[in-house]
Amino acid sequence: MNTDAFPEIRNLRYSDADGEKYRQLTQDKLSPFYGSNFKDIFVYAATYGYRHGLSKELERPKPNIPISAFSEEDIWLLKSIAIADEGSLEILKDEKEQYRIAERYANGAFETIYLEVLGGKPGEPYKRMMQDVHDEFERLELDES
Amino acid sequence: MRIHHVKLENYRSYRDAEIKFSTSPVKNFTIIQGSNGAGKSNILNAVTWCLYGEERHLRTEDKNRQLPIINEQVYHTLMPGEQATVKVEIALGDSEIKHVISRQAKAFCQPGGEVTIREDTDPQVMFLAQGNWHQSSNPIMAIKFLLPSDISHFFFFDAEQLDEFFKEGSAKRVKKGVVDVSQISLLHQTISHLEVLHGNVRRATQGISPQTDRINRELGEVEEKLRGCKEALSTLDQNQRGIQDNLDEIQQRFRASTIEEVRRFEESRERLDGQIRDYESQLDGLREQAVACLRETGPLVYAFEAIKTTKKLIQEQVALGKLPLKIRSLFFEDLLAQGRCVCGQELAKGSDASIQIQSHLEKATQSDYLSEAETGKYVVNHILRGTSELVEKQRNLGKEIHALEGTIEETKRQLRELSEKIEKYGEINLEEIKVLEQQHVQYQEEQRKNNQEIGRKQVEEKFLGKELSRLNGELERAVKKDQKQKDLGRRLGLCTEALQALNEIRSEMLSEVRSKIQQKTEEYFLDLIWKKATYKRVSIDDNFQINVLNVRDMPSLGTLSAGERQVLALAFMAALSSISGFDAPVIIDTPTGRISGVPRENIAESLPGYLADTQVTLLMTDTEFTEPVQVRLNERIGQEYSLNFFEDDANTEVVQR
Amino acid sequence: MRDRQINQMILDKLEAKDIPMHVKGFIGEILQHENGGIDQERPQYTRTYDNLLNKFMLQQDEARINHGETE
Repeated sequence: MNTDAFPEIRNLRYSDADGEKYRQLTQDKLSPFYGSNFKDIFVYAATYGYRHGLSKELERPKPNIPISAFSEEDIWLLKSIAIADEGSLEILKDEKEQYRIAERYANGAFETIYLEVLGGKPGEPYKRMMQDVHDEFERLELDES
Repeated sequence: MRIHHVKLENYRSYRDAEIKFSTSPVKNFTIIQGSNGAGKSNILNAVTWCLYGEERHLRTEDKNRQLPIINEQVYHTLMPGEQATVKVEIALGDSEIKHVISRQAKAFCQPGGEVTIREDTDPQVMFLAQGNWHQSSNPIMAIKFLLPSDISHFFFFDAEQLDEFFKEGSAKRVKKGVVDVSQISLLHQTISHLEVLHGNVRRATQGISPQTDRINRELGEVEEKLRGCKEALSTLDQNQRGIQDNLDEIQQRFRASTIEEVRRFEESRERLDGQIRDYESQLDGLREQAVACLRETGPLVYAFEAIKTTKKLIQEQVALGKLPLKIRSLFFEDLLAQGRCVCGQELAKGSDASIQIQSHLEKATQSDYLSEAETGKYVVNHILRGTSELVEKQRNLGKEIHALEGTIEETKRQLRELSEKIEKYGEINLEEIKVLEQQHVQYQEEQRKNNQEIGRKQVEEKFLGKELSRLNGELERAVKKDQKQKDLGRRLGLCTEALQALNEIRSEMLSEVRSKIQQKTEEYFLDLIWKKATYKRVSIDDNFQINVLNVRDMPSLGTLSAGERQVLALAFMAALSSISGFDAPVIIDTPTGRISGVPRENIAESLPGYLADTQVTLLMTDTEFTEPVQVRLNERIGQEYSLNFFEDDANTEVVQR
Repeated sequence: MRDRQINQMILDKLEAKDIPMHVKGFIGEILQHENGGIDQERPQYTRTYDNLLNKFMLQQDEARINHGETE
């Protein structure tokens, strides 16, 4: 399946400077990611980044999020982003590139997510984020109709 | 572990007595019955004196009369120059005796007629090894392994004196007991020794390189900060306990007010407080659900368009007939490996047939990405189907949370109104009430601020802990870089890893043991207590402060009757015994002294079940050991004695029944 | 002589820890020594701990050789 010359990818990456912020997001009791894994943050950021067109190259990438932590559903969310980004299923030939695309979107959106949760905005972060998800879904439903 | 026998020679009211305890696993109860003053408590005293050199349960009258340890009759009949021996012997073991412990005191009548008593400093311990009896060279240490003094209060106790345990300020003693019984104290000790070793190894890394020096400096700084953080937390915890004590006191004063209006206010306040606590607990639960839902729903919604696109592209491949795949590359690989086609033709290397198969293989390999798409089709459909359901769930949770928050706000408003009413009432009627109410409000505010600060410090503590781990790892790697210091690096690594694991185990143990004891104590207490509608829960907080909560969730330890406290003590001891992982015999003096009638019978009914694998000895008065109690304990009684005290010769006779 | 075993709960937790065998072994033995009444005087217990450290580092080496690992 993987025709890439490079060895199978074992970890997904974030920018080195974001490591501490990833930790904070899982440690702060107010954070919706309190107690969860880095991969939850990654998937959230990658999909958010795709939706809002936020993509950024990583700076000093750190391979710290094991692929084994992702469920099949998570993997297909990331693959779908890559497919939609390229506009073709052919990206499935290149596992490495699929993940690189996801990493760039996650990297692009991470700062926004971080500030939403720990940026000192008034009110509870999870409520704002829930509202954003509802609004997005409503927009999708409107588009359907 | 079982007590096989206790022999008493000239010990207090016992001239010469032997009590054999039941060692049967099923009939694990020994009953020793005697009226007050017959010598029941002296049996318990004999045991603790023999093991630890202390008589812990001397009755006040004995203390007041200052009766000597030697039997009174013997004491008075000693002639000048004569001596007598006081001796207590305890035999311990499982199915057979493995240890015999004895302690002596010598009474000597001086020429002038004065009797002096000298107790042996240490007991004597004999132990059975490889079929032979040996004397222990370190009897104190030997007893420490068998029945450590620290925890013996939990196994040999006077139920009536257990009151002390549940008074305010008892938390430290309770915690120490639990920590010792469950051997968390062993972990404390090990960790503290290992920290010294770790410190030594770390010091040896100084001067290896500028990098190790830098890391050591940073480690020192973080450790200092962590120490400060822990101290701050300890102070804050103490402050919170003090504030809570003050709040409880104010509450008590309101409850006990002679003015009915004030008592009614307090009842309403407690009711509203209880409601808010319930609601907030529900809200916590809803928030957790909402947040878990958000983590799932968010990515699905944000990636929705991408998933639809993927689905569309896959469907196009289906429409073009490229999916589902008819031929897999593996098939062609197999043919080439076998060297023969399915039609039977040989596939020699370089032959036309083999070149043709090779070409099919290349095409099939290129379309392997389509086989992945084939799998993806199902996942993608599943995702699309589930999304709107999840969004609906999230919406509903949001609505529930909003409604509950409104209810909490409304209840809080009622509480504030009530507080104003109380203050106003106080202004008009009794200044003291007003002042108390104002203090109440102030303390609650302080409590709230403290909780916030505690939360912040806890986060800081966790973060510093992780920093420490990270720096230790960095130090290890930096040391190992130097080939000559590889071994040192490995020693450091081993120490650090062992310390981390032990700290985690200790933390888990503290939490689990506390939680299990709370659970069991609550289970037994609610089972045994007769006012079942009054009490709802037993709580044991992180600081091991025990409390009993009534149906309105209000702390009620201070208002328990003596009998109720005795039940709580028994429940706690039984819980500790079952959780401790420590097999020790239990001796309880006057287990139901302050309890009568049906409740006492309930205890007789249930206690054997709580202490099923334990040897239990009950020292009971006649009023305790009634017929209904006897009937309920009967199946479990392996040995039964009654004590008859003869005043003439100051001797207690032990009669087997 | 030792009748009081280490609380099984502690031993179970140690067993369940996801740490290398030689670290588990080291912890197990220092716990046994502490339970067995290790001398509380500092030179004595640090000597025992030092010896155990060496023992388990050796065990780690042997395990590596057996598994053909290299540093």
